[in-house]
Amino acid sequence: MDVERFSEQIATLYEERSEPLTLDEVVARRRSVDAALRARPWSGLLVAALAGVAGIVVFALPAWIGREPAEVPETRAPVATTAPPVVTSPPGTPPQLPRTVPQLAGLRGWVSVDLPRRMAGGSPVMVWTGSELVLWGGEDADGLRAGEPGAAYRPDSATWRNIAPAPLPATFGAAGVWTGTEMVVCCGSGSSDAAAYDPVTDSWRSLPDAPLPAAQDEYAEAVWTGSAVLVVNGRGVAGYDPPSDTWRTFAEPPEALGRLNEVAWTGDLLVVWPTEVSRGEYPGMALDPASGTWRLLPDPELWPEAPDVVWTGDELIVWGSPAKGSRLDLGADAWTVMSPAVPTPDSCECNWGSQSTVWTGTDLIVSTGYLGTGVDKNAPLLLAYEPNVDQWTLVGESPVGWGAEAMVAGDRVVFRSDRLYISEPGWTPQGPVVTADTIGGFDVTYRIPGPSRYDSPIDVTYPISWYRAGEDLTPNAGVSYRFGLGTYPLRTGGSRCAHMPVNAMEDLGPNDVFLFLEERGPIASSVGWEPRPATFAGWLTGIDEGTDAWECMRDDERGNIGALRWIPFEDGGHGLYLLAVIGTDASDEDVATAVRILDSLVVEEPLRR
Amino acid sequence: MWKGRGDRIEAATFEEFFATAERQVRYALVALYGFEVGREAAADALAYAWEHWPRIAGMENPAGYVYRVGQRLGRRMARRREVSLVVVAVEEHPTVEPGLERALAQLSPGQRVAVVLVHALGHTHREAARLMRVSPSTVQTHLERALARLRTDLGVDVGR
Repeated sequence: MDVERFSEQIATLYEERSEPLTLDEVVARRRSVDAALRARPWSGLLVAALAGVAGIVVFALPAWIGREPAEVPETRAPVATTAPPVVTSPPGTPPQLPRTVPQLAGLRGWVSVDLPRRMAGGSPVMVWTGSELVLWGGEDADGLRAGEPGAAYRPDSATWRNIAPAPLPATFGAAGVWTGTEMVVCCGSGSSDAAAYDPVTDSWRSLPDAPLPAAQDEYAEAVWTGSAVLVVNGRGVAGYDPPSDTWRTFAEPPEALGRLNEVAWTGDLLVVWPTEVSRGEYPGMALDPASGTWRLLPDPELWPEAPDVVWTGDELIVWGSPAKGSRLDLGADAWTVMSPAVPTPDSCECNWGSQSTVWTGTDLIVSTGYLGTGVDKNAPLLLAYEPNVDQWTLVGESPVGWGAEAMVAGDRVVFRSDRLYISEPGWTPQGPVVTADTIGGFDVTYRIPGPSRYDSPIDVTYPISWYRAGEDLTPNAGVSYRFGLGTYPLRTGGSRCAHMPVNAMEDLGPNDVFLFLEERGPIASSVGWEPRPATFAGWLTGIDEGTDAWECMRDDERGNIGALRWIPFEDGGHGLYLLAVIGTDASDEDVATAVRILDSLVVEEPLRR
Repeated sequence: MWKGRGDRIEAATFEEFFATAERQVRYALVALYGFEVGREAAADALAYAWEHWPRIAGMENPAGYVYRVGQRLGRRMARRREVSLVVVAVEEHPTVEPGLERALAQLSPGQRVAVVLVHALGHTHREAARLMRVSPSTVQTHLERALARLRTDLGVDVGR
C-alpha cells in the first residue's frame, strides 16, 4: 500500500467516524455551561473566587461547608519497584567505567511513592527543605482545584502531611524555590502572585506581587542566590529580597525570553536559556544581578533541541536532543563538545527531547525518557556523565518515563512524574563495583514486583540489549504475569489464547529467543510440580507439542520455531510456568544468554500462602 | 486572516480560527482519546477558546494551546468513561483496509496523533510538531515507528 493510499484510508476513516463540530454547537456548549454554573451557587462562587473576585473565599470554603479534608494518600511503607541497576563490564576487558561506577552503584533501587491524587495529573512545584519534599500547585489554567492545599513528604518516615492552604491560586507554571527557611512560589500562568511557605509553622505569608507581567500559558523558573530569589518568566526577570520583603526589576534581556526557559545559578550569574523548540537556535544569556547587566553567551558548537542546563560548579552544561551537548567555561567563554559516546543500546527507544537531568555534584544524571506508551517500548535508561573524564556511563534502567522533574534531596535522587521515585539513601558513598559474567554487554537486574503487595518479588538479570516487555503480555489471562524478555520488541495480547503471549510468539523471527514467566500462585508444597533445576542448560531444546503454548499457534506461524518449552516448576513456594521459544536459526550465544537469564532468577519465599 | 499553517498564524476572529483549527484539533484529540471522548474534548476546548478568544488570539500558537486544553479535558473525561479507539467493524467500509482501525489503536498516542495529522490532514512534520508542541524530529520518529508497527500489525507494506 503506497503512502497516498494509506493516507487516503486514514482520512476516510476519520472523516466518517468523527462528525465535524459546528461553530453553533461549540458556542451553545459554553452557554449551557454558563447556565449550569448560574444554577449552582456553589460552583458560581467557586468560579468567582478563582477569577480573583473573592480569592480568599475558596480557601475557607471547605471549612464552611464541612467538607472532608482533602485526601492524602495512605501512609504506608514504601515499595521498592526497581532493583539495583547493576552495571558490569564485559569479561576480559579493562574497566571502562572509572570512579563513577562505585558511586553510582549506590543508585540502587527506587522507592515509588503515590502523589496525592489531586496532584497526580499536574506539575506541582517541588522543593527539598532538608527533611521534607514540599509539593504545591501545578493545576491548570482553568483554575480547577486551584484552592487545594499542597503536601509534604518525609522520606525518612515515608509519611505525607497536608500543608496549609496557600493564599494564591495553584495554577500551573509557577516557580518555586527553597530559601533555607521558606518555599517561595510565584508567577503561575496568568499571575504575578507570590507567597512564601514556612514548614516549621505550617503557614504562608503573602508577598507583594512580582513586578513581572502576568504570562499566560507560560512557565516561570526561580533560583536562590543565597540572599535573594530570582524569578524568570517569558516576560522578564525580577528579584525578591526576603529581609526587606521587596522586589526589584532588571533590564530587559538582550534576546527575547521563551515560554519555557532553563535557568541556572552559577554563584554570581543567572543563566537563562530559552528552550522552546520553535525558537530555533537562540543562545543563552547571563544576568549579573549585582550590576543588573546582561550579556549574551557565545553560540555553542552543537545546538541541542529542548536542552537542559545545569551548573556544575565549574562549567555550564547544555545538553539535549538528540543526545548531544556542550560545556561552557564561563570565564573563558569557551565551549567543549561533550563526548557523543552515549552508551545506549539499540533497544532503547530514547526520546531525547524529554529527558530529565540532575547534577549530583560529580555527575550529570540523565533519564532518557521514552517514546509514547507503546507496548513494545523498552524501559527508559539512566545515564551518568562525568565532566572530569568526559565519559558516559550506562547506569541501568530509569524508574521514570518522559517529562519528569529531577532533583537531589540530601543523599537521595528524586524524580517526580505522576509519582515520586526516590532513590535509596546513600547513593554518593562508595560501594563495591558489582561484576558478573555477561554476554552481549551490560546487564541490568530488574526486580519484578509481586502480583500484589503481599507477594514477594523476583529478581531477574538480563543484558540491556534484550527487550523487556513494558506491560503484561497476557493481559486477559487471569493469572499473574511476571515478565517477558526477548531479543526483539514484544507485543502484548493476542486474539486466540488469552493465557498465551500469542502476539509476542507470532513476532518471533528465526534468529530470536523469547522467554516468558507466569505465576500460578504460591503452592503449599511441590504437589506435582518439579523443583527448579539447578540450571536450565539443556532444557531449551525440543518442542512440547500438545501443550497450550504450541496449540495456540497456527501452522503457518510455527515455521520460525526451532524449540518451544512450556515448563512448570516450583521455586521458593511459587508455582511458576516458563515458556521458552527459540528460533530455528537462533545463535548459540543467544540461547546461552537465555539460560543465563533463567539461572539468574532469584525467587523469594512468598509472603503468604 | 491566516498567514500560514506552519509558521506563526493569526486569526482576526474566532470564526476564522475555528474554520481552520477545528478539524486539526478534533482529529488530534480523537487520535488521543477515541472518537467519542476526543470529539467531546475538542468541543469543550474550542468552547473555552471562544470564551477566552481575546487572550488566546494573542498567543503565538493558539491551536497548540487549544489542543493542550483539550488534552486536559480529555484526560478528565477519559477517567470517567471507557475510552474506545475502535467504534464499529471497519469491514463495513469496502475501501478501508480491514484491521486498520484496530492497528491504529495499537499505536502509542503520540504515534497515532502524528500519523493522523500528517497522513489524514496532510500536515507537514513542522506543522504537526507545532500543534503537538514537540520537535519535528520527534514527529518524524513517531511516524517511522508507527509505520513500522502498522506494517507488522497489518501484514501489508504500508506507506512505501
